Amino acid sequence: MSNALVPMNANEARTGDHGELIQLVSFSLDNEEYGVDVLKVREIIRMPSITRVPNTPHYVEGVINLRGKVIPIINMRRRFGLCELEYDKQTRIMVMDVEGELMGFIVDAVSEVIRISSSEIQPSPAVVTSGIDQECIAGVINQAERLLVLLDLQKMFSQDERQLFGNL
Amino acid sequence: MPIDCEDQELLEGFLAETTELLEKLDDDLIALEKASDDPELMNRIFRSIHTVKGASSFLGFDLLVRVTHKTEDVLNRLRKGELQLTSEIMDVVLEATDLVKTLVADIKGGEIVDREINETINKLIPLLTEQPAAPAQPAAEIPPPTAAGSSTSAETTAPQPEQKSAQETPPAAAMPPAAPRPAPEAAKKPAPPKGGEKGGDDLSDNTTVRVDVKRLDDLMNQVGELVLERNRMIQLNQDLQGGTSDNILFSEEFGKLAKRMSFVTSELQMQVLKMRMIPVEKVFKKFPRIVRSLARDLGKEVDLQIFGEETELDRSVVDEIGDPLIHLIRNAMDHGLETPDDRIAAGKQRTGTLILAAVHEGNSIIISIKDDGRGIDTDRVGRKAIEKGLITEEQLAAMSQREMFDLIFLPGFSTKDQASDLSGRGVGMDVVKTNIKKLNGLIEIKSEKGMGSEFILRLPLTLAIIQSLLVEVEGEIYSIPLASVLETLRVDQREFHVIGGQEVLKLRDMVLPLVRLEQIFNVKRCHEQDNFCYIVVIGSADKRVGLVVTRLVGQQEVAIKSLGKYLANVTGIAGSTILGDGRVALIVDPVGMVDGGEGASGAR
Repeated sequence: MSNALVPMNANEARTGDHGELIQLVSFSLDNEEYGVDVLKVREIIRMPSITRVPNTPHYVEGVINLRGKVIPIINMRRRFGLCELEYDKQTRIMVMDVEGELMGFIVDAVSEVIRISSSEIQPSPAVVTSGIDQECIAGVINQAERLLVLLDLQKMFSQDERQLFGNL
Repeated sequence: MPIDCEDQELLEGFLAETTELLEKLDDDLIALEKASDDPELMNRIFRSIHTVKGASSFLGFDLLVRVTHKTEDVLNRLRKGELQLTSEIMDVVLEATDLVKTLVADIKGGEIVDREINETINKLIPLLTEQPAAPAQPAAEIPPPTAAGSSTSAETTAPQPEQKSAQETPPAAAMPPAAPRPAPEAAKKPAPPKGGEKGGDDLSDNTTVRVDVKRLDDLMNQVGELVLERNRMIQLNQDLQGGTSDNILFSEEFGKLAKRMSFVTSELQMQVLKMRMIPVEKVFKKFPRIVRSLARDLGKEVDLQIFGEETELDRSVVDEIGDPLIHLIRNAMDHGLETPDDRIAAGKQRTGTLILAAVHEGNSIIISIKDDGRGIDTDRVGRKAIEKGLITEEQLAAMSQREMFDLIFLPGFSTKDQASDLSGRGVGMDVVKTNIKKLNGLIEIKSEKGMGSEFILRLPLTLAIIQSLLVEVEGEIYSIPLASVLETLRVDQREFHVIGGQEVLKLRDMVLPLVRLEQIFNVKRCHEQDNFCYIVVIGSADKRVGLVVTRLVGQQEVAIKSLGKYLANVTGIAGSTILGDGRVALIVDPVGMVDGGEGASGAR
């Protein structure tokens, strides 16, 4: 299992034989639900004014001023090759800690924080819909009425991709 | 072996004090060589090493005590006049100092490494027994100078004896010319511990700052004022909310407040900036030592003169200019200055002069390295560049003198046929240029054949806050570092010429290549095509380029914010800053622009 998922503290961690409890922030993107580890999420903000940065991949929306810090913003729809949508009242930027650096991700909406036990996480099926890169999917959670795709953003901006960036 | 020291505070105090003493010591030792009869200087040196010895014995650093003890003994004899100071003795003492630095660096690193110190100590010991009556004797016993300050020693053995006699400085006059020793002996000498130099460099501490108490007090005063203004602001806001103040009164009061705030913050900014400033002496003081050992290796006589070492600049800049300066000094000594014989043949003084000067000019600092050597031979430079395949004959024919000087900055360029330890690999000047560019600096060469050359570096005072010119490019705001801006002009686009697909502008006697920011940054056209536009002429290192922008917004002091690791290498963008309205504006990278323009115009 990915080490991006940090177990809860020791008391809570053992809930019977269901494995460790994990908290996820769930967000939606093109009618699919995704989850990321809550400890990686720093804050969730509305859309501020974004400054475009030239000569970057198309999915880099630009940079914003987050209380005096300049952080890059990634458009998740473009990153995953989904059709683009006008920003609306639900659109949010999730500011996350990716390998020690803050980055913002534009998502359609952020829904809730959910608790699951790590035993509920299943490996991702061989073929995944909607063109999301296989390697950044840490697993899927198949609960009664919902299907949640667990993302590992650390992997999404892995070394290769940074390298690629550097050469742009 | 980890350091076993109960009192961490004591250890830190020891390290801080020792580091400072050792830095001073190098300086003093070189000065002593020039004025060996200065008792005051001699005593100061003795005291420094004595203090280090005392402190290290108190803290139980045995290796350090052994080295410093012997060094102290030698110095003591020198002080009492029992021993005459010669270059050879100085070499040994300097080597010992280097060793002490290495040992201190080990302690600082938290690990005591069991280093070989006997070699150095064995060199010191003969100096303790020898009689002043027979000065020739010891010279033969002492192993040859180790030139620990440089990484060259083993290869220069052949011409050494001759150099030695040339190097006999006046204080060493007491020594008969018997001093030159057979070269084979020198060859046997193992390479000096290279750690010496490195350890010495590492000693400069970058984690803590010593600040003048007066500056701290000033800062506190400023903060006090800032707090007052903040209270005033809260008060104004309350008055407005509570309805006790009408809009007209409020706006008047608020205007005053804004003025005072801006005054206080800019003062505060200056104060903080000043605290980050350190005198350039920090870098310069390494040079006498380097010049000395280089001069010996090269068999040249050099008089190094340093001016303006008290000039202050930002730590970030100081940390970066060391390497380029060393390269330039090496270059001046190796290529610029002639050997004493050549100099006399050319009708110059035997001793060459190397002048290192720093001075403030507006918001930048100017460092110049000037020698009175042979100057740059542009014909030779041109020929070499063609030989190395860096340029073509036609290109050379079209070059101005300045462009020819610039050839020496090309990677891979060298006038030497054989790479020596000192130079000839063709990387040095390239490194200088890259480093200066990184600092947003400009470099200029003045040279006259036979008269000498001068390298002038123009560097910004700080890298954290810069003056910038805000420009608008089709609705987007970009910031251009003012240090690189040479001039701005408003021109009619119909005046542009196109040479080989490259847009250029005739500007006085110069043909200026143009770069359209909207093209480089892929900005969407949002304005109607207007014939008039603005050109911002920027220069980086030695090139000029005109940036075409829609509108000039104004000049502003901006704090540089990094774009983070993820967007670190975006072409043409050096960083970002936050504008008054909270939006982010990107800072144009003048270096990238100029090089980009160069690439585009390369097709000519």
